Amino acid sequence: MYGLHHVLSQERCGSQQPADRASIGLTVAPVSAPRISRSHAVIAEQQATQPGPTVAIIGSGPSGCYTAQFLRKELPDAEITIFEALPVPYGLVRYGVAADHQGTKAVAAQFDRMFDRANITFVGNTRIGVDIGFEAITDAFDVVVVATGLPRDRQLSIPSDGGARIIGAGRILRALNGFPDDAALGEEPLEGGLGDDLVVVGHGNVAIDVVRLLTKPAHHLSGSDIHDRALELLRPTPPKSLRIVGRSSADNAKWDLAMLRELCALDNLSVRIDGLDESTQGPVADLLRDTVRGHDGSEANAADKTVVTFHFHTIPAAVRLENARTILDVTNGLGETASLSADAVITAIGFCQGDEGGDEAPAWSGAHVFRVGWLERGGRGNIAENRKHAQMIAKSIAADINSGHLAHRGAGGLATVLSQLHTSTVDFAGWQAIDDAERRAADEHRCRRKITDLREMVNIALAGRTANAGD
Amino acid sequence: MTDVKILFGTESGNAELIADDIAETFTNAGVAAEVVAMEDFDVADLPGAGAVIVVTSTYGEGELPATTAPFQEALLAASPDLSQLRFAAFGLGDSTYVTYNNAIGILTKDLSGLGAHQIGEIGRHDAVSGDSFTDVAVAWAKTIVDAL
Repeated sequence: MYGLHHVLSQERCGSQQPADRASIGLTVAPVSAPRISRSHAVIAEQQATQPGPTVAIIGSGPSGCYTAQFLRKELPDAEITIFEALPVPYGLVRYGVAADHQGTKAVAAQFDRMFDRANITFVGNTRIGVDIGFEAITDAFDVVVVATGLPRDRQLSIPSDGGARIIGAGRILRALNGFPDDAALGEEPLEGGLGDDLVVVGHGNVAIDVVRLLTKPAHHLSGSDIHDRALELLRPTPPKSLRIVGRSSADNAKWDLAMLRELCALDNLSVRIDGLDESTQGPVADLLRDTVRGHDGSEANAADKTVVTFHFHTIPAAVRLENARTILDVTNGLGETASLSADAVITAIGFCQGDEGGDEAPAWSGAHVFRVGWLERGGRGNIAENRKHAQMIAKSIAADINSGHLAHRGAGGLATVLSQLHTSTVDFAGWQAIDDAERRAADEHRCRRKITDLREMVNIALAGRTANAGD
Repeated sequence: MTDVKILFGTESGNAELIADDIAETFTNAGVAAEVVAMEDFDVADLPGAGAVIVVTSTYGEGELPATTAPFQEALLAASPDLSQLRFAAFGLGDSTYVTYNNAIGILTKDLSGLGAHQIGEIGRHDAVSGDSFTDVAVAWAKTIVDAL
């Protein structure tokens, strides 16, 4: 979520100097706390005798972690370190996958095991490009893997009135996943409810996730780790109407059928369709027609329900602000136009690097620098698909090392870098302390209560370290 | 006795984690075990393998994962005589889907159809349960190891 955009915006806007951020933890850690974490110190010692190549992975989301897993298999002797900007790992598994999809989030068990058993080092609360320069990393490691993802929602490239309410779906999902406000530099926290009438632009899984979380009855969120404060803020009650708008037809919409089925199974929705030809075939068309048929005649109960309308062949043309309402002007394939009036327009049309220059890739590159995951693949692919990509990259790296194409420079690795970092890096034990605290803070309806304050995360992580200082 | 091969097919890596847990349970009980990815295993080695464990998740619309599918297809194409093979099966699924844990059922039927003898019940992890992979896998593996 931090990504390079965060780094650029800090440098341009001069907001909050790095020293302020690095001092999170310094002001509260006792004077006797060790300079670096014990596990990081152990790694530094091991490095002296470590024969293998040194690998730095930037980003601990699924792509970064899978790359580490596969590299460990290919290069048993390598020193592998994963740097993470936040104090907590796992990227979109934690902050992107919807809070009611705990089964999907369970891949984190693999990554926990990896840090615990596979001799892979987690260095959290460490922003490459801010806390330490990228060049320092490329100098110190034989291989650098950039797995920083894409932090921003792609924006509509159509005329939009200033003041029109357009909000990215990724941003909403992050908020519902308890993403720390302090970490979302450049984004003001979402204020107030999204409203009663919403338009979601996009025909993929992210659009369905947002619609489901905004409409799902509260009691069905039991067992999730949804951030209740954000839920209460964004949807004090489910919206009255929700339109899902996209240019695709029913049979080439990008969402998974299973996701659509899950949404249509909610008993508090009244589903409608716009722009579905009689002749359109296929499982999506069948599912929607069946759902609509099932809702016919229940208009008597419409007052309790959210009306969800699927719009196909619908192309956004402009966003206007009119009498405090946000209007999405659309056209269809036949030149007809319409205006959809809403309290907010939510965009679920993909992700990108930053809001300047659209998809400008970060400048981080080099002969021994590799890119993996959404950063490399334009934000395409689910967890399993990115695992395949990570496997491919890991095999490619191992082949280059084994053939001598990539030099094993003996560049020092983690030990070299640790001495340049602030004292509040978070190690795996620190993450485990945060994880433990979140699970214990949960009530009967939640599987965890996420900590949303960066300072609190770091304090919990460091408190465990102090307790072990006497070892 | 040769190592018990624990064959896994996965897309997210979760089936491999479970395969590792089963292997560890077996090893702790004195049974040598080796975890092998299905894409790295030749079905021609099945008839003489003695005993195997198969672990797979279910994907999409009840389908086999990308690394289980070729194994299953190779199995059906070769149609070896598996009457000397004993096997146990563990599946990962999500009961919010109607096709819950379909893939392990398919694989079990195919192996049995070629004469292999099933040990114990099919183990199942349900993503919805909130149970840890390890807890479910280890409990199941303990019911199997005594029969090996």
